[in-house]
Amino acid sequence: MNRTFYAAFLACLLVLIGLVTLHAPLLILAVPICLYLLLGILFSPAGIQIEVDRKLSAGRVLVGERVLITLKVTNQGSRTLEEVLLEDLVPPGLEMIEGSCHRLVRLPAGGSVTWTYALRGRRGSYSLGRLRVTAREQLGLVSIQQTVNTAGQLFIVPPVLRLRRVAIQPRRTRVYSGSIPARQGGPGIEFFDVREYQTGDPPRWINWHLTARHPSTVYANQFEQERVADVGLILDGRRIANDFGGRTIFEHSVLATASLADAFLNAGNRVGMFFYGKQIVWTLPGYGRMQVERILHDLSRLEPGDSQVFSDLYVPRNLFPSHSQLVLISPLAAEDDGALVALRSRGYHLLVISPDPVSFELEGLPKSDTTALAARIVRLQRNLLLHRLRATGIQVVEWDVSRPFEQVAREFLERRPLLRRGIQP
Amino acid sequence: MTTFLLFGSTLFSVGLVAGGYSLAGFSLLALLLGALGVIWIVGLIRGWKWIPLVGLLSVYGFAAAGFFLGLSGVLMFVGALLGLSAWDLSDFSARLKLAAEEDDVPSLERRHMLRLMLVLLPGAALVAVSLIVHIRISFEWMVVLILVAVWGFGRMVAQLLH
Repeated sequence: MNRTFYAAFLACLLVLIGLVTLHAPLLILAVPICLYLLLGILFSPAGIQIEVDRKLSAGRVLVGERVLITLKVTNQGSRTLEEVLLEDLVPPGLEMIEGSCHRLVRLPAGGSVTWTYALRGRRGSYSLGRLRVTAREQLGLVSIQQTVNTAGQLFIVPPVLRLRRVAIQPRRTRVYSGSIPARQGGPGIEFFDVREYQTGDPPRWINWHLTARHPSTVYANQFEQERVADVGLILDGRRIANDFGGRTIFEHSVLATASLADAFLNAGNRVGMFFYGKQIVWTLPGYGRMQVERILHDLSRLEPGDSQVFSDLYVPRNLFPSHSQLVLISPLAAEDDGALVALRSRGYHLLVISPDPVSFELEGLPKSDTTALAARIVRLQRNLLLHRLRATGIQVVEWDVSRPFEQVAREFLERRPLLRRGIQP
Repeated sequence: MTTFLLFGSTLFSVGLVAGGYSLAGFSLLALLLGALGVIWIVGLIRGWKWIPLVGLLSVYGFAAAGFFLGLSGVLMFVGALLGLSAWDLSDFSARLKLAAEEDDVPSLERRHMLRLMLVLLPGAALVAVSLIVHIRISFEWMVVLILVAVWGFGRMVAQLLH
């Protein structure tokens, strides 16, 4: 029930009682209310003809960075809008840090109002395209509301940590030179093999020691070629693996994925991303800065979902042929080893970056003997799972998320895994 | 300014109607009105959304009853007018809370007060005239007036709600 109804009801009641009881003062008492309602009708806004121009200081910002929204609202109608409430409908997930997303103004015909406010928010893709306009006459009895759509899309992408190098060694590399040892002799840095000297080889490649032992032949060193590779990033967004009570470890996985994508692409590799969560998202493989942007954009709109297991995890061979490098970023759930071992058996080189869910969950729980015991049991189960994965030749990096990812990356990812160097299938 | 006028209207509205009752010796009803005034003020401070409407209906109810009891017409009329003003200002005050810092609130307030005066002053003038001028009408005219009133209100409300 709105104010108009109550005012009209009161006036009606007074008039009727006044007429029925033949008591004139009651009719007089109704007069101001009738005038009030009459003015509401007389000055009611005829319609809303509004033009909205929206400008964003940036269409893509990092988490924590602020973005300025500038709105210019012009009354295109022929009548003054006496009281207009302009509300920019800010999607949930964004917070106002400066200014206001709503204005209460008077807009004369042809007049305009311009204002700016600042937002920041959580990782995500936000549509900032709706402005709600409510025009009222000054007594507030009659109002017209309209939602004006404007263009405005904001991507809040995860921060990218600069990793110096991520050492991977897939068996299959591409033809372009890069930074990944290709297990083929040729120009490079690290010693690979010796062969007979061929015309055109630089004289400094000659292996004098070996040549001295075989006077009839001249031998030259060969170096391991370094090329680019296909890298598939698989981000696990299953709630079962990521959500712990009201807390989620997913943001850490996203951060790691963004940083790894940047590192691999900076090294010249061809990188694609596969997200397995609320929706299944493929970012097709590509090279360079544009691909970093594509992956960051896709990362910005990913949300954890209810998928349960990796059983239907399918990696298309035309995009990632066998012996390519796959990097799984996942806290891992109990039955994941089967799917990962299957991937490994198909010849993929698998690196698992696993944010540690046990220490993460433990942080949010009250400290007690029961909790400690439960944590020990879960830790044992997890260690067993990781052990099984390692036993099949999968490289697993466990990341305690209380430590910065770059620190973990420097410790475990920058150097090639020496023990398995050269013996991987 | 709006807050000041809102509290002023509320106090004077309840005070005048209560005064009318008190002067005529209805102390208990006057006390009841005083209690209503206190609740109304507390409600405004605490932001109870229903209190302005309850206040308006109560003040008008007491004013109407005052006429039947033969209390001072001027006090009842002015009290009711101020009650209407308080009801309007409480809604306007709530709308002003949506204004941003850079909005020209004083200008909006000024315009609103002018519009409210357009209601209150002619209302007061009509009331003053009606206290002096008395017209006798027949039963048939009464019926016609009732029908016109019902039709008029129906149209008015339909248009406002539309």
